[in-house]
Amino acid sequence: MATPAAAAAAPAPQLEGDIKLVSEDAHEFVTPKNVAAQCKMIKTMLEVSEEQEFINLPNVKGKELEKVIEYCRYHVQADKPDSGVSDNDKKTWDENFVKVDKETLFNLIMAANYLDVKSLLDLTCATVANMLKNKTPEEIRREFNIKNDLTPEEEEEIKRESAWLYQ
Amino acid sequence: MSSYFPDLPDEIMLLIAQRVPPEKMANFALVCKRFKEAAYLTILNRRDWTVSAIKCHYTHDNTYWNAREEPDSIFGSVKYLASSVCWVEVRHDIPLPPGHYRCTWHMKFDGNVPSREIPHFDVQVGGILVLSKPFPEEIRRQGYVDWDLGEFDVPISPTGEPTTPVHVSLLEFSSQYGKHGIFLDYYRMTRLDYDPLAPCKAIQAAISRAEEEVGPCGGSRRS
Repeated sequence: MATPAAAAAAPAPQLEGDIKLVSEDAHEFVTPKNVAAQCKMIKTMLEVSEEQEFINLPNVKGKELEKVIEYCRYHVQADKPDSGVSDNDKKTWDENFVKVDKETLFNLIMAANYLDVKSLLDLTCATVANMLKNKTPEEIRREFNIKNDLTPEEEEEIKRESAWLYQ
Repeated sequence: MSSYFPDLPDEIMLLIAQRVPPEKMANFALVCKRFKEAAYLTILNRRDWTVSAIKCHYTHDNTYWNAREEPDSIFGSVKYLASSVCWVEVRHDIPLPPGHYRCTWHMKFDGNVPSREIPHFDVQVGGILVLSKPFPEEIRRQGYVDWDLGEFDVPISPTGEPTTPVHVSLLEFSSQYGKHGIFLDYYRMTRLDYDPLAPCKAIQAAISRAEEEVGPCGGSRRS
């Protein structure tokens, strides 16, 4: 889960005005620069040249870019010390934010990784881990369409070692 | 139906594996080779290894040594030496990856240990004694404490195994005097040279080596 500390770790940059973010599938999002700068990758680009009017993001589709911007917009406000938003409220908001279909969740992971939003990457990876942790290997394979490429010997080895290695 | 995991870079697989509870990691590793690799890298790069005293081997188990519920224990229960016994023997083996460690026992002592033959907490690495500390009588009636045995190194296995067996013990059976009132909750091996990015660095190093051998692998999913 994104912790307040993690989300607040990115200091609000002194950036004014808007920037147009253009997704891989040509969707455009006019976004306040201080919101976009929550993405470390964009922040670096803005610091290199503040005059640019748009940034192309060839690895993020519009649907996920819109979600990332929604996440950054919320946390820019909620993480301010005087926001009045409690840690519990932020946790609830985060939990609701990642209630999406699996495809969107995995695309969000890739987007958070590419755009370098650490707290969102933590949140989405923790969400996937939560989806896995109470399932059997067979249930995980079935749910995520994964082929079991372990040999019987490898499976035996894992089971044998699990008594001590995975304690 | 799509499969999402093959497209995830290795470092993302690690981030997910690191968020799976250790007790669920065996299930995680049994899904497929990719999950197994992520589980191994995660486990071998743990910050600490905490082993419940319940898992140790006891001479006179269930006669002198008993388990009892302890609400404050992170494992919910502890082992305690209820009656006076001259033969104290507690052993456990744990395989650890190479590194620099500190060993601590979380324990309580409310009873009596005669000074003539004091039990020792020992740690052996690959059969060699690296730590040996006499039973801490000064902690008597202080509640649970973290008893620090000291630091030791686990070397790289000469046979290329990812881990080396480490033997942990509490022994005293040379005296006829009875010992009792020892409560063992858990022991912890804390990695002092822990580096959370070690698996990523290992992957990067492996990719660099592969690229040196066959040239850059453009288009690979592995970043």
